[in-house]
Parts: sequence; structure tokens; C-alpha cells
Amino acid sequence: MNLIDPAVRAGVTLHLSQITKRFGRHEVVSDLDLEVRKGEFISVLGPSGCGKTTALRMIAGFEHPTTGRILIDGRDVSRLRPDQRNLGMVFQSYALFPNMSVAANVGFGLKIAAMADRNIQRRVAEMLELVGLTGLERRFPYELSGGQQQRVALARALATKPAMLLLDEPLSALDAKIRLSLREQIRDVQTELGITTLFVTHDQEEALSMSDRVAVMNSGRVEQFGTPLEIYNRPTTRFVASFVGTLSILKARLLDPARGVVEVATATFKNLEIPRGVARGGHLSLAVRPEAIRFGVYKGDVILRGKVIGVGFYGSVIRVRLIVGNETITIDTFNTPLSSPPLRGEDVDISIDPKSVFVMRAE
Amino acid sequence: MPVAGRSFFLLPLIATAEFSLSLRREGYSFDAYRYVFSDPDFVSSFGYSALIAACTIVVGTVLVLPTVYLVRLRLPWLRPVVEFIVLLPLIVPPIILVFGYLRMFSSSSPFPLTGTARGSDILLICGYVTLTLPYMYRAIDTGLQAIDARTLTEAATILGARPATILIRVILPNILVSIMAGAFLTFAVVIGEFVIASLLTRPAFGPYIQRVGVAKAYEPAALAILSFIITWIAMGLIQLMAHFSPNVQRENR
Repeated sequence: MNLIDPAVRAGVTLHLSQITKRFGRHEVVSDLDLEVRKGEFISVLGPSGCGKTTALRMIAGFEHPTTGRILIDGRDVSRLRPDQRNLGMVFQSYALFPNMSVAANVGFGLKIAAMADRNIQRRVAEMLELVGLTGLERRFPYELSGGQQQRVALARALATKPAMLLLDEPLSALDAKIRLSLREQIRDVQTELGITTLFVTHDQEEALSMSDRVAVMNSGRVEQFGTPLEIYNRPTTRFVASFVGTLSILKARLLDPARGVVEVATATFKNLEIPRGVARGGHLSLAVRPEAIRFGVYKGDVILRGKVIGVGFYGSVIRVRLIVGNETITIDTFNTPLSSPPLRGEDVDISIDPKSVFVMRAE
Repeated sequence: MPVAGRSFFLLPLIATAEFSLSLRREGYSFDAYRYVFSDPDFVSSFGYSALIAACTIVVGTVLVLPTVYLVRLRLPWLRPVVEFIVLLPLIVPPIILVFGYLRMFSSSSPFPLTGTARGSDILLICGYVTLTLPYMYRAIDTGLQAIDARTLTEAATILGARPATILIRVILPNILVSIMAGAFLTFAVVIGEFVIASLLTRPAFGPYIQRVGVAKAYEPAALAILSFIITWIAMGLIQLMAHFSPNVQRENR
């Protein structure tokens, strides 16, 4: 899949061209094309083992691509050492040097670059102010919380003024509350500095909430590359549709390809966009997001009747699972003081807007 | 530990200690220890062995640290081979090693190291480095595992550091406790070693204890207790250093 938009070539900072990586016979990354514009925050999202970290490690220089080229600001860096690429990186495990203070950690890259001590001190102070850790210069990593350690790691990665920032699941080791605040802080710092950033994560919420664009990877390939809204609302593959967000998949049969008429359980959908090559009577899958289904009967929607088999309370949202025919459907509804969720075992009507349905070939 | 277990370890030790204090018929005294400390051969042999132990620690560290580091980071497929090699000194007796040295480096060989005192010292250090390889390797390997050497190396690399800088400024300080553990074990082994030092005719502490044991009664018991105390001090220092390790402090938080 070619993900390079010719219109943005002028402003390119990172360009991965036909990157493939094999470990022995196992191909971990396959024909990866990706173009990142200057100042963009890009997330690479995918399940464990999809090749996203290998792709990041190739950009960093810790692995070399088997074939293909990596261009940073137009310069081919595919065979350069990591220290020759002018990149900053934040690791999942923080990777702070335990024998060094916060100031020494942040100033490490500057010291290596033989910067004068006075300038190092000034830069370290700037970086610590940026990440909100002023005053902790003399502390050692073991004296800091996980969130503070990751902020030091961020300051250290940015101190050398890298051309690009690589984030390898930096929030995975943190607890939920800190993860939430730190992801906002990372995005704020990135926006303030305007630094091109590549963020690898398996957490779809992180990817969708932080990024300008998201590349969804599966089995070594990018399945879709687009804005978070495009990824969520217009998934182009079955994998993206099922991996990003929650989906209910309904078995369906095509009644009229020309008019997009599809039969599901006891109801009929009309004017759906049918994938090419599916003949009349052929099997399809209809996918629908939990928030696109409503309880009750609404005009213009397709109405189905089902039995409630589970109710989950998530604060502002109530998630209800029900059986329609032989299929399980998940519905999210806001928790409002005036509404009461259906009870387990209750028969209810649900409405689905046909425009919110994705039609896919049956597996 | 059950009483029987404690007795098994402690009774011989107590008996030796009691015997070392029984030089005077009229009661306990430290005379055996006084004689040992006043013997010039004790001081010189202990000093010699301590110096050889220090050299062994330095050579062993210089040899083992980069090897383990390289195997961990770049050559993990070589790990089983290296593990087997470092265990060989526990399988092959030191006497085989030293006879090999004597054959290869005798005065009639192309490298007549046994012909001079300095040459024999070098052979002794080589022998001790080999002998203590399992302890040094295990200690350093555990240290590198504990600090996640790969990620630290990558973090330092992307910040511009070259391998030598990373090894000296990042890796070494963070596994110093492990190196010291290996060093104290090495020291304890070298101080009491007899076979290699004796066959290379070096004036080491092990052969000195043996000589005293042949000629005297109470002093060898005093020397045995002193050897135990040296070993315990070494072990105590390992514990102490481990306690103040940043990694341990982090885990204790």
C-alpha cells in the first residue's frame, strides 16, 4: 500500500520507502511506506508483534532494514549509526542512567557533544522547566516516581535538540491517571517545540487522542494511515475496523447489489455501499460501532429486537450487550440521571442508522 | 536452619577456634595469633597473595566485562558456548591447568615464563583468572541483567555516546556492586589457593598455611580462623555494597 501523498513531499522530515525487515526467514516488516511531515505527531498503532517497534528501531538505527530506505530531511540514513541520525528517543522502561542525577541524565547527550558546562547547565534547566521538574536536578532516578522518571527521559531526549522525537510506548509502564496527564504533557511539549514525533503504541485511545495522523499496523504492514477521525469513522480494512474501537459484526446476505439491499436477522438495510465482487445472495458482514446504536424506535433507522445479556457501568457510559438472532451486539449509551439502563433478560428494540454501518466481505 | 545443620557448620569452626586459643596449658590465650602476626613470612605471603588477587580481579574484570556485555548485546547465540567455557574451571581440576602451564611455559619452551619470578607471577595470575572465571562471569552477567544493559546502551547510543564511553560511564558504574561481589569472591578464592601457587613455587598465602601446618600445631588453627574471617569480611562487604546499590534502593521503594 502506498501511503505517500505527493502533495506533502516538500515538507518531509521522515520518509520510509519500501522498508522490509527480516529476521532469518521471518518477515517482521513488509514494504512499509510512510511519510511524516515536519512537526507532525504520528502514532504507529498495532497489536503486539505487528512490527511497529521494529519499524521504530530501524528509524532509530538500532536495526537496519533488509531492503528499503529511510530518509530524514531527504538524507538517506538507512546505514548510519544511531548517534549519526540526530534523533531523540524515549523508551518504555525510561532507561534513565541509575548512577546519574536528574541533571546528569538530562545533560548526558550535551556532555558527549562536548558542550561547555555552563551551557549544559542552562540547557538542563530549560528542559526541566519544560517538563515541570525544576528543583529536582540533584535527585537520582530511584528517588522519582514513574511519571517523573519518564518526564526526565523526555527532557533528556529533547536536550540535544534532535530533528525528530521517537517514543516507544512511553506510557505503558505508568498507572492510568499518570498516563492520562503525561500524554497531555507530551503533546503540549511536542506542540510547543514543533518537533516531528513518531509515537509507537498498542493503546488506541492514546494514538487517537494524541496524534495528527495514525498508522495502523498489522502483520508487518500498514493497513491504514490517516487522521484519527478517518481511522475511527472510515476504516478501510476489516482489521482496522475491529482493532480500533469496539465493533459488533452482524452476518448478512446481499439481496440487491444495485440498490445496496442487505438482509440481517429480521431486518433489511437499504442503500448500503456494497464491496465489489459480491453477487446477489452472497454473504457479507455488517459492522457497527456501539455508540451508533440507540435504544428505542427511530424513524429512518433499521429496527432490530434483542434480549439483554449483560450491562456494564463505566461512569459516564453504560455498555449493554444483547443477543439479536444469533449475534451479539454491543451498545454504548450515556448515563444520564433521567434514563435507566435496560435490565438483564429484558427484550428491547434498538435502532441502527444505516449510514453508520460498514459493509465488509464475510470471512 | 535446624539445630543439626547449624551444628554441622559451626561445631568444627568452634573446635578449631578453641584449639587455636589453647597454646598455653594454663588457659586460653591469643599466643598462636601473636606468633602468626609476628612471623615475617605471614605478612609477606599474605601481602603477595593480596597483590596477586588484586591483579586477578583487574585482569578478570577487563576480560569478562566486555565479553559478557558483547555476548548479551550482540552475540546472544554465543551465550551457551560462553557459559560452558566459564564453567570449565569448576570441572577441570587446577592441577591439570598448572601442569599444562608448566609444560607450555617451561624454561625450555618458546615462552619460558616459569624461568623468571615475574613470568611465574604472570602465569599465577592467568591461572587465578581462569580459576575464578565462573564467579566473575556470573556476578557480572547478573549485574548486566539487573540493569537492562541493552536499553541503557541504546539510550546512551542515541545520545551520541560511543561503545567505550557507554561501557565506562554508563554500564560500569551501574554494575559496580556486581563487579565488587565477583571481586570479593575472587579475593577469597585466591587468598586460600594452594595447588597452582605451590606448583609454580610462588610465595603465596596458601603454601604458607600448608608449611605452617606441617611444622606447627596451634598456629595453623589460628590461620584457618583468620582465613575464615577474611572470607566473611569479603562476604559482608558484598552484602553491604548490594544494600547501597541504587537498583536495590529502587526496588525497596
